[in-house]
Amino acid sequence: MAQARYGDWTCVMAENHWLKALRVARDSSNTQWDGVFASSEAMNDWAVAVTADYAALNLDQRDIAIGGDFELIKMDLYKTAPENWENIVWGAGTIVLMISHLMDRTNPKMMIDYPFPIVSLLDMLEGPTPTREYTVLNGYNLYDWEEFGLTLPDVTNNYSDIRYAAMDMQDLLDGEGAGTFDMVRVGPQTLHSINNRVVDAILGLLNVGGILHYTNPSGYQSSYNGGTPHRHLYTSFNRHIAAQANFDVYHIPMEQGMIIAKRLS
Amino acid sequence: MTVRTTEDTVGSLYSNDAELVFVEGEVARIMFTAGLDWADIDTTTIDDIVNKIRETYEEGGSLALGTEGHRQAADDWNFVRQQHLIEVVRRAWRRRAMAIGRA
Repeated sequence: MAQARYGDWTCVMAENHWLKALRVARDSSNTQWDGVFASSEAMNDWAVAVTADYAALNLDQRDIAIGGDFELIKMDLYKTAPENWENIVWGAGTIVLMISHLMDRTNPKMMIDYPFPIVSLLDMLEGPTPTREYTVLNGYNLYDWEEFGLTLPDVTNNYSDIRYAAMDMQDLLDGEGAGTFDMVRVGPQTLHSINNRVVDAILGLLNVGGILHYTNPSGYQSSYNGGTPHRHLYTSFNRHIAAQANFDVYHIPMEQGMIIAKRLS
Repeated sequence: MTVRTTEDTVGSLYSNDAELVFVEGEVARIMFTAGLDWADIDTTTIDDIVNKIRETYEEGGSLALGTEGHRQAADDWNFVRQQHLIEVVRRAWRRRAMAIGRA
């Protein structure tokens, strides 16, 4: 059975355990974010537009060129989306919102690497005074979101004053915005560079009390399943984060796992 | 370049030039680490880079020195470096192809 991975979650192309769990969890939450982008139809419009663009680019899909990396095979989910797959997006978005809510800060400054045209994000961006001050790292995810997400009629008909910022990777590495962010949500596709330079820059963005939400630090559970962390490429990055003396670091091994790290000083 | 905002330009903050500069820097660093040269990028394929990484960071080199049956720390180190560099270069290579396609 085909399997695709999306954000924090792994799902099979049917309503598997995790999709059922997300549906039930959403039904039991009062932060369901019902709206135009809580529906499969709207999500499918987005998926179709992005898929068509990637197809037009005619990218190299051979195994030696892409391997099994999520960021490079995520289009599998877009092409054959399972029923109620918007619940997956709801789940990922809810964790970000939950953390930022619980921080109890006014208009917290957020950095993300992967925006989606979903209600839970768009509501936070709507002006004139957005409830979250979002900055998106420059990259292909920002391109997709701007080109095919913000232009969808469901977005333009419901949001007239979207506000956010963008930061280039080189500026991040040069220390732009250091110590000014309340929360950062990124995945290994952003953090993993030739060394820890991006990890250090990301951690450096946070102010005291600020929180890093690092998704999928297990490599889709492979570091958990292998049982030999010293032979897993994610381990050195994770241990580098864990070694930060001025952070409380929690590695939570649910599904793909997540690292929550809070800056102490 | 400083941080860009949407005060006047909603939907157009993506910078293809900045994306290309960053990912080409990633590819160049990895090529150098593996023993390749960015000056040859026009004639280098992703196959060349992945294969060169596998060659440079070959797992099992220690075993060939008469330590049959015993994995040495150097083998594990090579294996992790190999997997790490291949992961990053595959991603950067794809991002580069996307940026070139959108230039």
